[in-house]
Amino acid sequence: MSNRYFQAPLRALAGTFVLCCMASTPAVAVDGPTAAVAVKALNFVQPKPAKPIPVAIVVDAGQSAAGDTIKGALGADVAAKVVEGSGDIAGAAAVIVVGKADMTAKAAPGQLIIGDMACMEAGRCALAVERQASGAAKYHVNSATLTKTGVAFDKNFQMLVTAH
Amino acid sequence: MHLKTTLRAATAAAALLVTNAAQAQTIDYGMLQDAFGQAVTTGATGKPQVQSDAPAAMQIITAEEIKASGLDNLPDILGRVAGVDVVRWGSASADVAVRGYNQAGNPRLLVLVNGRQVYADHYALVTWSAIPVQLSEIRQIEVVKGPVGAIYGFNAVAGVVNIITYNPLYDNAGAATARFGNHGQREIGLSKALKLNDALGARFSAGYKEADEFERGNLSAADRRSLRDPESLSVSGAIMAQVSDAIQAGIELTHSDVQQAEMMPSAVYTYQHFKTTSAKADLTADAGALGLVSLAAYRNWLDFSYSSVGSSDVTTTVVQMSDLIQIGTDHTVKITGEFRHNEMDQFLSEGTGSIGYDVWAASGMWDWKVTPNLSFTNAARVDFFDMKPDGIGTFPRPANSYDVTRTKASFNSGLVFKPSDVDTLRATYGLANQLASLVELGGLYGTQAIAPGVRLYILGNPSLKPSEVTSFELGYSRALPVIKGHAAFSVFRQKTDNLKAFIGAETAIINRVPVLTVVNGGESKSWGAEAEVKGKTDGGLSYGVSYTFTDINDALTVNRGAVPTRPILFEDATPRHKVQGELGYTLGALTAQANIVYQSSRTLLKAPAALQPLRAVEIDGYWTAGGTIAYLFETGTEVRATLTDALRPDTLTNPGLRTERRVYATISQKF
Repeated sequence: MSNRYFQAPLRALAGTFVLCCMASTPAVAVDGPTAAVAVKALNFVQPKPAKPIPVAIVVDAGQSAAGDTIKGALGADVAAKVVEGSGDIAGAAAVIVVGKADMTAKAAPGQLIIGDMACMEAGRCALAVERQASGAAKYHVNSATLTKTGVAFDKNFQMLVTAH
Repeated sequence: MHLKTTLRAATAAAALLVTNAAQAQTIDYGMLQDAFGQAVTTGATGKPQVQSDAPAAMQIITAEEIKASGLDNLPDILGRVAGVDVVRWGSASADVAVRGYNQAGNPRLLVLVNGRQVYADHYALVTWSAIPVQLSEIRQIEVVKGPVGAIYGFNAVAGVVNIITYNPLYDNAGAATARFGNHGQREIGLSKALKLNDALGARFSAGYKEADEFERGNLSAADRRSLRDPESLSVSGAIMAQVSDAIQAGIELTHSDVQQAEMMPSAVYTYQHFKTTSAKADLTADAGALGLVSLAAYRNWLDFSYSSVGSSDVTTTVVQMSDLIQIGTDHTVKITGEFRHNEMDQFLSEGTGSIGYDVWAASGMWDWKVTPNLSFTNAARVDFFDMKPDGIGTFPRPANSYDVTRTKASFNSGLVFKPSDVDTLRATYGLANQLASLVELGGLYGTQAIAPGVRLYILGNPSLKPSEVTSFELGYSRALPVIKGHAAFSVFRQKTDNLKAFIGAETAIINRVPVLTVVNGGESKSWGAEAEVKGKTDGGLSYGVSYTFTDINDALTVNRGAVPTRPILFEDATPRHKVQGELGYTLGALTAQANIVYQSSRTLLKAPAALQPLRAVEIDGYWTAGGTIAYLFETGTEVRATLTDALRPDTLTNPGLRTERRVYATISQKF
């Protein structure tokens, strides 16, 4: 029997494997429920911020409504304010970037910049959350941005996130 | 002077470790589960992982599931897990096995509470009612199926049950419980994990339980004489402290006192009295780039007596040090060193001498995230065993035959592939070693006259080789968002070499003297499969069904005659089929759950009295069912009624006491 009988299915299997393994993570925009999961990462920031944790939601000019929706979805552990464009983010433990703003230069040391997957992959954000169909959540972090912004996580949490 | 120097050096080393370190954290299971949407565990590799990433067949029983079951004991709770087999010998005693090979005093399952072993090394068994933990203080129970020797060392050959309690640095949880039911059951319990401030927490629990022993069953007169009503008492206390930004430390003290009839490894009932005490200290330090450094030291004391046999005591001392380091974004390494010392006064003739051994072990685990969807984990461990007898009786064996050293290696390897965010494929390999118990190695020694001028010696066997368990497994699980649940399937192949065959009626001759001793008894192969589906609806309905298939083939070098002379038989001892169904319903403050189980036939060995030939008793397949209903008041008071083994007054589940129907009420108050 020729090996060709096995070559085609093996090639298909290898192709599937490569596709599955190499597939990029789907982009997930920051919405209220995603932001609510993302801010749970603040429980693992070192040193631990006191509750309620101040959070700034940065939106593009004229997009305050989107910021308000996210603010409404965050729990009582967080004290959020919506900031347009280049507004004041001083004092916030985390900055949630809804639009296209790059807050890395403006962020104070230790401020966690949260955004969507594209923002995190581009290095403009340090953390993004992928909510999975199973109901589980996957945290993605951009290691370079984390270092640049001086954010450190608890080591147990650090070992559970997907680092880029 | 020397001590001062050592302390100064240790302080300097600790200071060096924590320089520029962030705040140290032991695992906050509750917070991590809330963030990741699934349970988090270190049970499979020693590294924190979400359950679906673990390279092992693992089931995590949560505190909510324990409560919803309405059950009042660990074996019954574990019995709900696919692949777990429970043989209930009496109202308080039971043996739990993973993937078959259950027997009286099952030695194959390692059980830990917060990392401290509660597995008793004298007979290598677990007395579940002696575990000093209240169900209300358990955060989660991790059941790892398959050998995990490279992570846990000796005795984790069938799997590991890791019981994790609430951590008072993170959790405020407390409950007072009173329970009463038929068969004279009365129980009170109390547990509280209390966060005193950001840097200090305390946990305390205590419980007392008594009941009437089951009565029905075809027992010999000797067995009947060993029956007593079971009674248990336990108390546990712990303090956890955030010593500095980088260091957490904890101490824990426990005690339990248990009296009950137990089926011994020799397949006879014995009335046992166990007193266990433990002291443990641990420390976790965030050493910055050097990783997460953990140091744990504990000592377990066990005083035991068996009514028809004798009494003795065991001291187990364990010191573990590990470093868990993340290297780059894709690699995590854990390096562990362990020292263990076990010592037991020789049994049957306590006070004449002691047998003990040291085990030095080193292990390494490497977890490689090959791609975001594929991880590859490997672990290896080497245990160096050195036995040291001290004045024990050895005749007719030469005394120097007890100076034994052994070096054993264990391995675990696992590939986890996630082709999508709902699918997980898993392939694992494990090799683990089952060390012979202290009794089997030489802790047991006695003699009796069998004819004028002829004495029979009953003694251990220091040459007994550790059993070696090898396993291959494939698993698949899929989250099912449509039913808010999941499905899981796994299939495994397992082989055990150098099975241990405990003392029975088979006499051997050593140096022309008749003896009863333990021997290696051949090998056994098994394969099996586990499948389960769980789901729930928005309307408050939850459901689950699981199926377990186990097929075992023994190739024994003992028990080859018509009548078994040693208590070893695995081929027919595990039910080939077990099906479980569960249905739950929640309506506001009212919760109810019903479950039904079918288990196919099995054959278990039973001796009419110690050291006599055994008989194989076939236990027919049977259905059993139970249920629980509870109402939770706004005050935090819950009133619950539970019914177990409900289909008939009593059920033949083993060759001894029949399992009787139980009904009990529980009142608990959260605080």
